[in-house]
Parts: sequence; structure tokens; C-alpha cells
Amino acid sequence: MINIQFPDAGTVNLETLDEELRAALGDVCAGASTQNKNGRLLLTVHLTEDATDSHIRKARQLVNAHDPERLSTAQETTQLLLQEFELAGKHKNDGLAEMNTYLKLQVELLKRGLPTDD
Amino acid sequence: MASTKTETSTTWVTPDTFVAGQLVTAQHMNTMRDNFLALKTPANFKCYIDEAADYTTSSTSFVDVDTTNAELTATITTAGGAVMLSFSGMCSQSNANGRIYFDITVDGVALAGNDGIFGAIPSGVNEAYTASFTVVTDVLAAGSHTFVLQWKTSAATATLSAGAGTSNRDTHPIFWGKEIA
Repeated sequence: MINIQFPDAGTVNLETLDEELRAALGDVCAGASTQNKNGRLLLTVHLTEDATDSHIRKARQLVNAHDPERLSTAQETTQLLLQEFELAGKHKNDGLAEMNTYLKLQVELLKRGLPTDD
Repeated sequence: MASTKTETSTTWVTPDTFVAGQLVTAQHMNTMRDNFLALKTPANFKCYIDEAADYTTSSTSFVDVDTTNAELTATITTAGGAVMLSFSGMCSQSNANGRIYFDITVDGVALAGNDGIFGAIPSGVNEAYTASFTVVTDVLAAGSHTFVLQWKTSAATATLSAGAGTSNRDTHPIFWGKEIA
């Protein structure tokens, strides 16, 4: 495993960064990790031994351009589901179709292990 | 706030085989004393984690939990026995269907391989749960051995609380090992 380290990484959205790295580098990217290093957040990008200098340069570019505010696809989907569920909860007693929509969303959230208190 | 690590090594000296009429010297007795002491306090280590940030990973291949400080890496000199290893910590997963897997390398070789020794299953998104396992190595040759805790996730982000002050998750993982035979 090739570990590329970024000291003092600041705030990192690991899911988004992971998605960006895998999209750009494919199977060469195993993922990324964070931990404390002298009171600061250290980011490590894990690349397989097949990684070339070009892969390493690309990984560095992506980390430097990383925007922690940007959500990953999964995070966006979750956020959207929660918003839809909140809205459906307000209208669940309006009729059978509304209750059906509400329950379907509730099941979807439960399948994902997400809270369903509206 | 600081992680701590103790590493205690022992040396075992193969005792002489005595013959009838042999003079027993202080050297013989002291060798036996040293061996008794080695048996009383076998080679061992303990890594106690107290960090300023929790550990997280999205790696789908096994990587060291602590990639830079080596707080979850220990080296001890054993006397030729097997080593019991144990880990306990509080984990969470950002994907309810995700898994967190743990393995330990001994001198760079994974004890289990594949999906490791232990797979932790979350009860919900970012729900805290305990990861804990104990394992015994094969008999290791007498000498210096290095043990490293590794992990990976099946998807999304895995977190290991590290005493970083996170609300209700300010727990301290402990990784320990002791030569047992």
C-alpha cells in the first residue's frame, strides 16, 4: 500500500473525497483515512502498489481541490430522502395516497438505518 | 491528552540438564530465577488511545488504523510462545449496511487475511457500537515481533472513537497482547 499523507488537512468530507478519488483513479485507490497528528487532522490517501507517479499527482490535486461542503452522491440521496420524508409527514393524514407515500419513504429510511421521527 | 504504550520484553534461557553429582552454582540458580521472573511477567504490550481526533477510514483494503503515530503498533521480544492479542473500541459507520473489519499483522503478515478476524455490523447510520475481539497467534519464534492493528470498511466511512472528546463517544480503544506459552 502506498500512503500519501497530508498534514493539517483541516475539514474533510471523507465520503466525498473517497468518491472523487475512486472516480478519478479507479481500482488504484483503496480509500482514505484521517487521524490526529500533533493536534491536527492528518489525511492519508491509500493507493495500491500499482499506482504510478501520475496517479499520485492526481490524488494530490484532488485533495488540494477538495471541498468538504460538497456532499457525496449517497449523502445527497440521504438528504433528499429526509427532506421528502419530512414533507410527507406533514401531509400523511390528508388521504390514503399521502399516507402511502409517507410509509414508503419511512420504509426506505429504515432500510438505510436512518431516523424516521417526523 | 496523549495515547500511552507499554512494551515489556522477556528473555528465556534454556535451563541446563543436570547430572548426578554436578555442582550447582549461583549462575545456575540465577538463570532459574530469571526464568521464573520471565514466566511471572511474560512479554506484553498495551496501547491506550487518547487522541485529539477520532480515527476514520474509507479504505476498502486493510490499512493501519494509525498510519503515522504508530500508537496501535507494538514491538516486543518474546521467548518462543504464542501471543494472545485483544482489541476493544467503539465504532460507527456512516452507512447502515456497511461493515468494519479488523485484522492484525504480525511482522507484516496478516493473521487472518480476506475480511480479517472480526467484522462489526452497525445497528444504524452513525450508531455507536462495540468492536471487540481476542485472538491467539501460532507459536512465534523467540525474538522481536511487531503487532499492528489494521482495519477496512465495506463502504462509506468507518469511525473508531479515540478519546477525542466526541459527545457520548469519548471512549479509549485498547489494543494489548501477552505471550501465553
